[in-house]
Amino acid sequence: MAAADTELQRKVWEPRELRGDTWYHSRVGPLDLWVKRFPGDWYVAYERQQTRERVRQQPAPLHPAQTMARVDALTWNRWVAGEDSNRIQLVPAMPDRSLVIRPRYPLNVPRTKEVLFFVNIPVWVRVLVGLPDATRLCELPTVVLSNTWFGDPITGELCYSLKTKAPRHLHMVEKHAYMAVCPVLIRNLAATDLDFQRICIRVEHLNVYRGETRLWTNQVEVQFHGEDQTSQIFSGRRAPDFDEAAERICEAREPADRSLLKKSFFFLKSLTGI
Amino acid sequence: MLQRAFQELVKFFTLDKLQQLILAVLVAVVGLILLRFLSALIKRMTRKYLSQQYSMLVRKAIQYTGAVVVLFIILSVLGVKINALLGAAGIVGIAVGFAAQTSMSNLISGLFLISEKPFQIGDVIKVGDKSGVILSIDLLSVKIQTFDNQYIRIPNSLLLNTELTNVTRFPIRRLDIKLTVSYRTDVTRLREVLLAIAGTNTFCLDEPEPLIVFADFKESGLEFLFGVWFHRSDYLGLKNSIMQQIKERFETEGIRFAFPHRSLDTDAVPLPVALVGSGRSPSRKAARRPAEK
Repeated sequence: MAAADTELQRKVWEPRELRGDTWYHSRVGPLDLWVKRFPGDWYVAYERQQTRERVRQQPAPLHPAQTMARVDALTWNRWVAGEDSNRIQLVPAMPDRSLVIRPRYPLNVPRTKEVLFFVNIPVWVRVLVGLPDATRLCELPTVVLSNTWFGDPITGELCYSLKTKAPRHLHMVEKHAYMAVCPVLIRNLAATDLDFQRICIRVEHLNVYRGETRLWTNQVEVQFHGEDQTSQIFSGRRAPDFDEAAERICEAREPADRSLLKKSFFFLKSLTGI
Repeated sequence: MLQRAFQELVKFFTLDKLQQLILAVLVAVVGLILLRFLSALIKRMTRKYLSQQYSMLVRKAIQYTGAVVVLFIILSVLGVKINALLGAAGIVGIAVGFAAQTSMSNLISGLFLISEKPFQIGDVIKVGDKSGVILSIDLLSVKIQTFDNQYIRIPNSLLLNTELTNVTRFPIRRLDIKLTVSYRTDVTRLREVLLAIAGTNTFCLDEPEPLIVFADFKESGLEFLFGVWFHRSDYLGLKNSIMQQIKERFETEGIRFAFPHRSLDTDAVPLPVALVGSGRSPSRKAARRPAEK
């Protein structure tokens, strides 16, 4: 990614002061966002263009809209706000549901071996206004992922589906302003090989970090103990080692420890029916 | 005579009797208030630990028991002999039991339904040709709200003895669509098109994967079963969108739906057709001939 692109990617996520009489436009991957500040109100509209050309296009931080042609054609949402601040910030967040990652080709991990691969996760754009006491107006996915079911048809859960090439080396991971890279480490601690076709990543426990040239999430480690035993999944507590200087820009939707307890109790509840 | 009756009445209501009456009214009022308070307290306490049905059951049991206790206290205050009353109540109970068989059946069925839990409030059920959302599960009946906003009361005994479908029991469902296409259809291409439709429909789940079954060779076409999975809340959105997508995509791809028709095949190709006469029907010709002569 060129230096100019890197600079643009950083600016997309920085806070801005808006003038009250101007329509603003931002582009984050396939997502186009329009914003306007009226006295007492905020107006937001969006649309997506999920084409190959758009995906490769540079991001655009909030800037006065070049043309008003789209403004009237859009569906606007309106929020009542105080008169205090015209500051706005777009923040990248993880999707609101777990992700089922499916490698393009099934991955076979021999016993006692481990494999590290990277997954590019499309972020959601969180619109925060009234900084520093931020009020969240809305959250918009940059890419609308398809739904999938993880688990059996009776007790599973609804997730998003994401296919990945599962690159093993960072330089093979495409750089996109709207994608956060999640390193996934799988350790096969079982006595048999692991034929891995899909994995469910609890992205709601992951933070988003802004690095030099990319967005990151915490590293996820999966310990496989055998098909008849539950695998253990750990989320790192800081930025991954690949970019230690990355600063946390968005906290996880749910802290990991609390959710683990919650899942355990839900399992007990389903056993007793109470 | 009226005056005499009035005098008898005044003689009956002595001071003692009036005191008893006032006490009885007080007991009734206080008793009912206490029962309501108790019912509200139990509802609050059991909300977190018991399901709505069990909570309702516990409250009803306490309410009815409490009402009977209050009634006996009132009767005792009024000086009525309880023992004789209990004896008579036994006989009356047998008579009422025979008369109220249906109600008792519904009551017992209600208890079975509550313990078996085939559904709960908020579920969508189908009973016979009726379907709707369950509003309440009571001791004698279940109330449902249909999708066109009608209120239906279904006796519990009917529910217990009938086949019932709980549409929303499980979180995901499969929508099965039967498609009959022309015999000239490229089956491989058809599968690709159907999978592509499922892939682009936002309501279809990626997994479990869509199901395509080559079901049968029918009289007029090839029959396929196309099954797509969806979250139970997306039924209407999926049904409308996928039907439209199938129609539009089939038109684009030149895939034809089958319709009843007959094909006539002979050994000679093409089938020779010769025009005979001026096109009038033979019966008209025969009718006209005598006149022409």
